Amino acid sequence: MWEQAERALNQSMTRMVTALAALLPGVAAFIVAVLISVLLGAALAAILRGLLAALGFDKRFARSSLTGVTEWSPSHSPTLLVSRIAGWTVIIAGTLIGISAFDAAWATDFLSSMAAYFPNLLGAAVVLVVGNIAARFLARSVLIGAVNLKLQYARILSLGIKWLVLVLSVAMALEHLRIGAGIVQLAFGILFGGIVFALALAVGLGSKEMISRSLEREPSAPPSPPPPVEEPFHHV
Amino acid sequence: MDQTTAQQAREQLEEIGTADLLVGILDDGAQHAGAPEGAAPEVRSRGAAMLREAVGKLQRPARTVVVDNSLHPNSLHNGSAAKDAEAGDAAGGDNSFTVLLAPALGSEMNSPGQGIAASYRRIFALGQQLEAKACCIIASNLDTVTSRWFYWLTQPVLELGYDLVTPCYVHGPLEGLLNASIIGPLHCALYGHNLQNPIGPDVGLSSQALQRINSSPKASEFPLVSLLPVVTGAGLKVCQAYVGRRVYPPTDWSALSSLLPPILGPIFAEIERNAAIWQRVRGLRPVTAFGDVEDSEIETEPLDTTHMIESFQLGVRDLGEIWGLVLPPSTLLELTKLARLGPETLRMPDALWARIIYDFAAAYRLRTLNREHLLQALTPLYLGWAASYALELRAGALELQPRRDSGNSPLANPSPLARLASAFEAVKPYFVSRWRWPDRFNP
Repeated sequence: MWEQAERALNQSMTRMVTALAALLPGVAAFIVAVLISVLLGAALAAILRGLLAALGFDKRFARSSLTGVTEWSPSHSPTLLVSRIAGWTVIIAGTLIGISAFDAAWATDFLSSMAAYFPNLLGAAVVLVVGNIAARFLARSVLIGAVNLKLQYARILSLGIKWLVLVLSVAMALEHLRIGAGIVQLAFGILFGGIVFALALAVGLGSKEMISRSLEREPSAPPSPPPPVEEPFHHV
Repeated sequence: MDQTTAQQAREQLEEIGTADLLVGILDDGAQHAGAPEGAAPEVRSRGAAMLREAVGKLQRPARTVVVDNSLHPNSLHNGSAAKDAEAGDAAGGDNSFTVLLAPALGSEMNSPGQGIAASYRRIFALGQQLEAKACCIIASNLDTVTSRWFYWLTQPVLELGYDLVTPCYVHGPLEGLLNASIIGPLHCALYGHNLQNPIGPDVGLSSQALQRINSSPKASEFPLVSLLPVVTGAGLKVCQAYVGRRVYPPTDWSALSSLLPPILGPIFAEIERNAAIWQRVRGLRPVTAFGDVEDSEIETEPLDTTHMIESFQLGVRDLGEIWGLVLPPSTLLELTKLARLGPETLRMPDALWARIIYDFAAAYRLRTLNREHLLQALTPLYLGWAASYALELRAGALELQPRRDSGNSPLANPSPLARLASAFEAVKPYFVSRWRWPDRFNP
């Protein structure tokens, strides 16, 4: 009995060591691929950074109307953003190549599912970036407008708008990634239902007098002429 | 503008051929809303008579063409335009005085969206087309315009060889503050001509200036703001003239954020376009001023500075993050200190205000943030300056008397506005440095 148990253990050890030995070239190839991709990514990022800096990319970009991207970029530098994106793309590609070096069925399945998932990832990234830029732009518009209207709660209003748009864009990105697909519908339903209800209440209560005045107005009374359009340069 | 009217206008222009003087009247009636019905034609007839009187004072007779913005094609059909034209002719009794209908200027004249800028462009183009020796544009409220306005905006051009005549108005101490606080001192410091109202809006131009404006590829869509840069760049002669009292439309201080961007945007854009010109200009040249200084006391209602200061303080509290993208930390610190002062002790130093305006002009060029946001974010700061100025007046630092600060001798005239003009000039090197090496100053 002991002999049989010893043989079974030996066979198990042999299988384990054989499997590990079969995996080692794949691991080595993965490490090499990742290292090379890191080096290549860093080199590409450095070259791109130097090239774009020489071309004055940041200044040219700043002159375009895409100021939101500049604000969103690391250190307010679109050059840095582009070089980092390029660098990370190379590193991710190298990692995927490394994974494919494992000569196993799961690696192939993983790669094919990653390839199928890539458009979703890209879409979610675009939604996040656009949402971020829109949130900042709207938050600033609301903040400046509210301060000029002397609203004491300008900052809270601006923060509210910013987070509203950010949360919405994150929810949309999650839906793109097929994570919690019901969130967006639910959020839209609750949010817009709430807004419409609030507006209906505000208009209904606030314009009560205006509507009654307009109903009481004589039908024969001529409509008042529109106020003349004021030309700002008259104030100069 | 329909085809018939356009054809009529073309025929009228061909018939006229050339002119010595082109006068454009751009008072579209919006400035005196609420005037009794029927007052407008009377005002216009008076305007024609005044122009006639002014032209009569010139040494040589000048063949004059008048373009009146109020004569719309629609009024042509009910006869009022024709009546106005007849009034103009009747004032002269000879064919040297022609009233041209507004349709000759094109359909843009009647489009409120295009505004006054299109009218200026069209009149400048018409002046060149008619080979006018001088062109005078009156955009102020015709109720207060006198023959002096027409005479002094045209005589230096026709008889003394000047190329650009800008006006010097008499007005209340709290009127025309946007010009006094930003436009005037900024233009003076950058282009070196000490003018009270560098962008009019009432101006006189020579044929040479017209040609430069019309042909300049750098001329802005808003010709008023291009006048001084183009004339300075071409080395043409500039002067100013005391024309008299001007009435400004009342300022709605609560809606300033919609007023600043359409005015300051073109000015900052023009600064960007003409960087090569203003960076060469050194010092402030005195400018010859024509006309008589009017001594009349003007009473103006005091400003409600409480609301202005509240807006300024709210801006300092909430817009610090946005201003931080435009202004250096030292300026932000000074603003924070100012906001802590009591409502009667708030005084914005001239140098600080000048630096703020220069910083905003530099940020406009660099697109540090959206341009509309940038100009709207200036509103609380402008209200802070206006409150500070009004408080200074109230405190008795300056007697409430009509402002005629031509600025020809800023050192001899220690009024707050002359002081401000000097501050803009003194701070100009800071702006030049910011412009040339923006990275060094990035807050």
